[in-house]
Amino acid sequence: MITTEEIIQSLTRFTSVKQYQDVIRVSTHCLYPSNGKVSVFIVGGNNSFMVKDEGGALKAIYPLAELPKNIDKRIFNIIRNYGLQVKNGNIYSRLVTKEQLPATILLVANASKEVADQFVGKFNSKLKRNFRDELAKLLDGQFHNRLHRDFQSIGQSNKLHKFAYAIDLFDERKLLINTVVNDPNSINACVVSTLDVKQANHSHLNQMIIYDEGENWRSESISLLQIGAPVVAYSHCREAIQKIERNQGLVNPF
Amino acid sequence: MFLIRISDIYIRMENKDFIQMIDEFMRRPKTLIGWPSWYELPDNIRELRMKIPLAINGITTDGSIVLVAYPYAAEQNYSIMLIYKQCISRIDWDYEEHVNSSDAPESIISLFIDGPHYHSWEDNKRFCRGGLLPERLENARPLSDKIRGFDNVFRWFLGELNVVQPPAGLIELPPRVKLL
Repeated sequence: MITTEEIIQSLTRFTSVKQYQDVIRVSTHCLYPSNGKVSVFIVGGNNSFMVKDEGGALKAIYPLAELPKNIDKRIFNIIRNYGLQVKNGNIYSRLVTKEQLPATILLVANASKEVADQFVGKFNSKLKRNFRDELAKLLDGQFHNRLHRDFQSIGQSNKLHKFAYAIDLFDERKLLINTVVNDPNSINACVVSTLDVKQANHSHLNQMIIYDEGENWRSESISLLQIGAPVVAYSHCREAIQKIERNQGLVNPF
Repeated sequence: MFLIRISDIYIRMENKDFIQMIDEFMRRPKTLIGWPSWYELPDNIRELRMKIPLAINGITTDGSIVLVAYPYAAEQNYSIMLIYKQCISRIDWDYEEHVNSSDAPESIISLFIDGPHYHSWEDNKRFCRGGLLPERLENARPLSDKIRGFDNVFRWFLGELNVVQPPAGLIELPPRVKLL
């Protein structure tokens, strides 16, 4: 049984507070639609503080195709009931006391999150969470010593294909990882390289394609990619790689 | 022992283990991937198809849901299939008679079914031989009168297969075309 202290400790790890000159940044438990954490910034001194999101809501849904001109008015309509203000996309509180600060942090964080949530729906924006950057960080953190970037492997056609990553597995086996975005050129290139290498029957190589499930993929695009290698949603890639290690090369037992 | 291909790897297993593996596939929660669309078959424009890959824990599988619609048919006519290498479960929404095998579970009372029916994996896995899936799904049960309308039928089928329900409006049957 887990103790309440342990839960409090584990939750504390999610929150970070850092000081940058005259600004304190608080990373909260709230999440934007891209799964990025909501941070708020505290300025002021003595017993008078202001909490703001520094335009975090808009940055979280960047890039929108085109932001409407009356953006502040639209944001204000969403956050009106929080008792907050907005200027140039920056959501901010009125001046509050030290006692009011924790609640104000919660209010600004939640308001920022709500604006991002609603704007994503309204403008149908594509959440470009820079999936390749995030994947690079994740793989580097998890498999640092066993990770190769821009790994090259030869296909049956004798053409040399470049893969975003390769991870050393057991028995000198390697897992080749191809990343793909929802674009015909990216899909075609990915299918060609994985299929050509698959046809070469390198017994020491496994392959995996990682895609950003935050994009609106057509079912047929995923089916096409699957011809080359198992297709894994970005949010599940860590466990998929661990599965490969456990199952000695089998990405999915089905 | 039979050599069975799973995700490009060949594994030796007994027929009963192969059936157990598919049972496990059926039990696991699965999700439909992507936004599907209907496409015409090049050699038969009267038949429309749709294929939606299935994933378990975000990883694609050898399984998919395939829908077949016949918009030119005189009466509403479509099939919804679970494909795992080949069809292992299916709903036939048609008004033709289906005859069950005499090797059917006891709970299947009638050998003749007239109208929409459901071929379940459970009723047909007995036809797996030598690590091979049944060539045809011989056994079926009539679809309950309570399950009517494409959306209800589709969602009921997904429920039977442990597939997470998709958002509303993801899949609609193509409109029927009236012949002149």
